[in-house]
Amino acid sequence: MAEPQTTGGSPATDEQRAADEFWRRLAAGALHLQHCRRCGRPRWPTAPYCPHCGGDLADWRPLPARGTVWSSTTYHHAFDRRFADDLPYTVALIELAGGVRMIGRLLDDAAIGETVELVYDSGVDERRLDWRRAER
Amino acid sequence: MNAPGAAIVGVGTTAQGQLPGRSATSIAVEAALLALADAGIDKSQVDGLITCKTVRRDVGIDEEIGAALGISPSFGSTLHYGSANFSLHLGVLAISAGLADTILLVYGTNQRSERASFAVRVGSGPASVLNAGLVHVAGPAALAFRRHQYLYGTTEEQLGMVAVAQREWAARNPLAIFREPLTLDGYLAGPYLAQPLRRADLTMISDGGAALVLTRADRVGAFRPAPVHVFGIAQQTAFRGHLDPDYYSRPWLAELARKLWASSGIGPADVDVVYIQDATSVWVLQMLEAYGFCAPGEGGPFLASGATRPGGSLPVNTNGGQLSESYMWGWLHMAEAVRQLRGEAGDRQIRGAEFALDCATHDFHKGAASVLSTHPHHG
Repeated sequence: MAEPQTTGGSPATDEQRAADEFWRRLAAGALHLQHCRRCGRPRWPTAPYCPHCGGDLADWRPLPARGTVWSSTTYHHAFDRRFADDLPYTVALIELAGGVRMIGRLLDDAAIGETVELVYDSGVDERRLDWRRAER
Repeated sequence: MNAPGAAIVGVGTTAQGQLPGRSATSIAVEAALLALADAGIDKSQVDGLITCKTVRRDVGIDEEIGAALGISPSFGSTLHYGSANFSLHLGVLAISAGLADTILLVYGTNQRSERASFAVRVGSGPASVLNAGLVHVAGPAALAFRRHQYLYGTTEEQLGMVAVAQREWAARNPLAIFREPLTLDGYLAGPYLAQPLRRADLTMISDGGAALVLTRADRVGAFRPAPVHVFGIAQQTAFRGHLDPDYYSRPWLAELARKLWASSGIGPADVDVVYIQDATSVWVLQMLEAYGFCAPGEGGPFLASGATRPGGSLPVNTNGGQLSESYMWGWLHMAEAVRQLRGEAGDRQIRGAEFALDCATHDFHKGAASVLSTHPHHG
């Protein structure tokens, strides 16, 4: 499911273009985030302006695709019928370097506090971030 | 607390649960008329109207409810989200600014009969959050609770006491939807929805309406009931979202609590009865700690002690809350607080109650809290 698109052929907004670029790079096998040209900090989610310093220019640079599980939960009930076939599925909040925090699916039973890594060939087409226990 | 101060002098609540064939506006109007009757006034004495939209629908708008009531007050406003605390604070602001003297605060919803979907993203974040399947408030609440378990060893049995205690209160509340007893064993037997949260940990979806009449503190004599004074108010937002750590644990609630106690000049030890807007049981755990009724991390043992049950040292959600009474975005919590402080709470009455805390959050985006009292706030 993509970010909401404009209707009627209007040009994509700066917000949409930033999101599209993130997913294009991820589909090519690289976790790149906008790094603010003024303060250097990465940001997530993608955004036209730096939420730290307000800078409006950014460079796409890689971020190590590893983080720590802050918490996770396994869904046993399909609140949204779209996910009924996925049950049970586990969602987690992952803390990466640079104050970046991402929500995604956990593909195994990595526990809170464990290190996980991004799985590149899974979920990207659905604009979903998938994670699994990191290999040492 | 700004002069001239404000007090609640009318409360109206409709039947709750399944109200088929009623529009949200119609339910809101019924609640408003009940509140006016309770206040003992005619609508001509109302010069302010504050409404709030029901979930994700474009209904509950001041101009529609105002038209249905046949009033053109000086001041009218619509909040795009529910929760009585936010409407109450806006009313206090309007009265303080002299925009109105007597304000109707109204809410009505037919979200159950209209089959509104709550399977939506809760909390901030991009579309990938939704795509991962973090839908419904149960998800973030489960993340928060599992973190609490990780840090403090809190158990499911301890969390279960929120639902169990509130069901005990609901048994004494004729307005409540769920009144049959819920034991801890019964709670634990329920299947996980978002592990480890169960159905009993989550609010039901219901139709219903509620309304309050708020007036200047120096005008309370013109109304029938004993006034319930707004003794202190505070708010806090969390718009930065995941830029700050521990987002789902809502650490900013402690800052909101600090401001509320400073505004009211009282502390947790002075509070006789507590109302926590409980979309999930986890919010009760979070706010008991944040407002200082127990130390951070001690919420589990505090709940397990039975303190929040009938007969306990700190009654919480004596109406049964949203877990047992009805899903009314805090409006029935505030109505119950008013009835308790008036001495009109029947079998649920906390004898001699003088101070009530009513604390709420809107999603993970902001929180609002009020101290209500039988006493006017001076200075």
